[in-house]
Amino acid sequence: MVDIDENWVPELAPGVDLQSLNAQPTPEEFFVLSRIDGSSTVDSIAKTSGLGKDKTLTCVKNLHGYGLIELPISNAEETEQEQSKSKADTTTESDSDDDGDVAVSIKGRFPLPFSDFEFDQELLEQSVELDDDFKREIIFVHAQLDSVDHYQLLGVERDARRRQLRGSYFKMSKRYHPDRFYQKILGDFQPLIERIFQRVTKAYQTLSNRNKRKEYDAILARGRESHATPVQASTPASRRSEPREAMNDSRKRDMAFKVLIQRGDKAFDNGHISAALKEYRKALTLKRDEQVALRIARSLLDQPDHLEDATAFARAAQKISPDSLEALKLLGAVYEQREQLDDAIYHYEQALESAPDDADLRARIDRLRS
Amino acid sequence: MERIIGIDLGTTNSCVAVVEAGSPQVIPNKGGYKTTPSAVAITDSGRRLVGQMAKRQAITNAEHTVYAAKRLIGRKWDSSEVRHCIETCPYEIIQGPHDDARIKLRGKEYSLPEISSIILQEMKIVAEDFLGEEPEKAVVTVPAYFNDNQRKATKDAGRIAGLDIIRIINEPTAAALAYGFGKDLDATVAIYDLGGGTFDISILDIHEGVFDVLSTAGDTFLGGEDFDARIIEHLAFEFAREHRVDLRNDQMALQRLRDAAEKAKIELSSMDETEISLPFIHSMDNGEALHLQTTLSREKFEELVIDLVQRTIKICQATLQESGLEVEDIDDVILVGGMTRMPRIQQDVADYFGKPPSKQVHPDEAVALGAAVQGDALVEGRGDVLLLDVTPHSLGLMVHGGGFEVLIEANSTIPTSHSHIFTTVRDGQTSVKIVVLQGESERAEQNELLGEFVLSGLRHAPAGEVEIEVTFEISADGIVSVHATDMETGKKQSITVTATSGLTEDEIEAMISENEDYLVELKRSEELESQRDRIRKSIREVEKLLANGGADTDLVAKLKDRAADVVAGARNCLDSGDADSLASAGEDLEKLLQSVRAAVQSI
Repeated sequence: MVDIDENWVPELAPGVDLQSLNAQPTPEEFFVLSRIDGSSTVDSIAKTSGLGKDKTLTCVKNLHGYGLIELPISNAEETEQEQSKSKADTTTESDSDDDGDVAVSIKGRFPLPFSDFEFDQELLEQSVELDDDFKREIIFVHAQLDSVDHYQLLGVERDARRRQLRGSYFKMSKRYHPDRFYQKILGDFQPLIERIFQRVTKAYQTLSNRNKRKEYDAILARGRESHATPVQASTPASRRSEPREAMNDSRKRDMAFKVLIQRGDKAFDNGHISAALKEYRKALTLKRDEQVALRIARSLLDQPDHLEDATAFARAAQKISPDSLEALKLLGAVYEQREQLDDAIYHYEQALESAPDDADLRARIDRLRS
Repeated sequence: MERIIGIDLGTTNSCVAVVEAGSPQVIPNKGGYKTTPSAVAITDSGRRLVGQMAKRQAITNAEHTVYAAKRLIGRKWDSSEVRHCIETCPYEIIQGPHDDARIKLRGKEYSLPEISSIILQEMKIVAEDFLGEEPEKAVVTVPAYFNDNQRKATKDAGRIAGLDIIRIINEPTAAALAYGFGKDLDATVAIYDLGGGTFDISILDIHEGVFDVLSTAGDTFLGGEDFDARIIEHLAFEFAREHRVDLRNDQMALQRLRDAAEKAKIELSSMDETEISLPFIHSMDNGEALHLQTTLSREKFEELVIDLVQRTIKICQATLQESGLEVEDIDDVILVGGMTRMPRIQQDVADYFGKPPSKQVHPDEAVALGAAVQGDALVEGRGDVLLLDVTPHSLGLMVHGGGFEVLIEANSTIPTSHSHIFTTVRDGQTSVKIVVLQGESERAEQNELLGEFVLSGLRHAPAGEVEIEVTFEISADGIVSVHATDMETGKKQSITVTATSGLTEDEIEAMISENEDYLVELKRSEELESQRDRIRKSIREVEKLLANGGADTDLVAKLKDRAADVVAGARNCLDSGDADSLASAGEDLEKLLQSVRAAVQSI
């Protein structure tokens, strides 16, 4: 056990990529994570988290166990043991209905953690009859409706039975059903709330019906396959089946993608490379755009500290389209920069196979060989 | 505090309830009854009668007494239901301007929402007498299987009555609310609701105060009225066999038959046999009087209506199947509606569900109680009750070749919406017509037409380039609305409704003001009547005092002369006077009365 001193000031671990976590923190943990600013003590976080001291401490321990935060002491062995055990603790706790805090009351499992979420200030400041926490919750949940499946939205496991589904759906209905806001001024939050309720309802109606659930599970399975193989599955037939939703979905993704890329570029221009890469990664999970991945990889070529990242982005581009000459060339160039000459030659040669007449490539290979 | 009343606007009876100190209760009418007949009559003097009063005079005023108006509300003129009513109802049904049905009473046409508004108004008055203030808002129930046109027409009725219907909820759902209110239930229940005119069955999942309707179905033209009709037919047939006279051609005889049939039906719920005695039901051309005298056994009655009972059980089967549940999954069966008092129905429902139905809710009152609970939950923002109801019919569009494309499936939880992209099919096309329907048939023409909408003012562009997103919404009331946006510009597109059976905005406005005028007039005539009463009372007192005045003093003699004049003048006013002359006559009398009192006392 790591005994946590309440006067410790936890800090975010540097270079943690929230998108590729092995452990999936619970909403409570994410919430605690969002309160960690490098200057608040564990005690003050516990006092303001609304979770109570015990829960907050458990969350801090777990976050530490995941390697997301650093504490003044760090005992690698102990935390490793801690990880599996305390995770089991918190998952049961997160089911309890706690109405105090935003992240806690959010049932669904969303890809973008609450702490990482950037709120539209203008929307947040709109004068409506909702309290600030609930506004944040609505914005947060609504923004990610399209990036979660029905299971994640309801916050249940894949093997959840009807009773669990119902419990979750009823709780969410009591939170988001438009009747809950009868005669209240909701402004631009009204359509958001309505959409959340509809989407939650759709999730429940699909999963609580045996046949519909079977079909849906099949679609999910296919979806994962199509992610693995980079063939675009957007045939006219599949578009016809759910035309409206597909369009909405892809348009929203496009928009989010653009915003994230812009944010990344801005951070990059200001020299915050790590922050920029975080945005880029998020963007690329939304839309697998080869050209963008290439562009980012290229821009990292002259950043000696980020050559590994450059490799990752170039690899991503190559994964998106395996035969891409550009991706192969770039991979070669990245390895050249990293002075891993064998790897560089290997990729250049691969590229040469699809472009045997490329004189530049040949020249590079010859130069590296010598 | 804002009080929301719950109204069960029934086919044969209506009921109103309110939440008092946290628990719902039914409000009795002036006669002390908890339900009020849904009957409206217009007297020969143009006065409206509602409820018990209207029902009582129906025999002598059959042609101008409307009952079971709910069977006609929101229906198309050429529908089989309207045809059926034209054949069987004593009042005159005519074609309205929107392909709707209207009722002609004393030479004046009434739309169905107007008739219903008169009943709603009566229920509002019942509540007002109880609450001591005018209720402005109400939750009104409709059969679950009502379509959009019927729901909209009901909402219009509320507007005409000056009542803001904040929510329309389904009758079986309301009954479930009354059943589950205040209990910590975790159960799957079936509500079997057979009322005066409609049948509904709903399957609900109740847990932690959430009432989730899994599926619902019904028949909006199957109810107690049809059971009565079978008895009427039977009696008329027997009578015709004996006397070669069809009683149904005689409005007054038919009305007597109708009353007798209802009474017999009710009696047969508790007795094995009932006497039907209608003396002097018909007089022959030769002056001979014919009497109807017979007995009806419960067995015979069941034989007459068994197909109706079976029809309801078939609908139960279909609904259960739709909900994906088995009979064993149903924890409780709840009976609602007066018809469920019939032992045969209780038996058949018990046989089908494999368990005796619950008697926990009052079949006549549960629906109004549930409506009051929902109204209270909405306005008070109470978090302990939440209704998740469904739309009973599939909503869709007519597509090429008269097909029906479903956008929102039946039994979808409401509120819900669906967006559909329309594109132009011709170069330079500037408008698109959308035909919206509700129903389960694959053929558009067999479904209920909700309206035709025209998207106009589209920009000139090659075919397929203009994309309009049309959103179809079903509100928590189960009411459909349509709006459209240009995909490219994000501009709202105007939609013109070109075909709907509902009342136009202008008509509703006119009906509202006409209703208000009627109420003002009613109030005025009531005031005149009480003025008259006061004058009559004063006259009596003056005459009494002077007669017993004792000594014949000069003063008294003088007063007697003056009194003769004033009283004569006042009597004149009573017969013919307007408000002003009644008022001045009243004042004169009052002065006289004071003098007389003084004179008599001084002696």
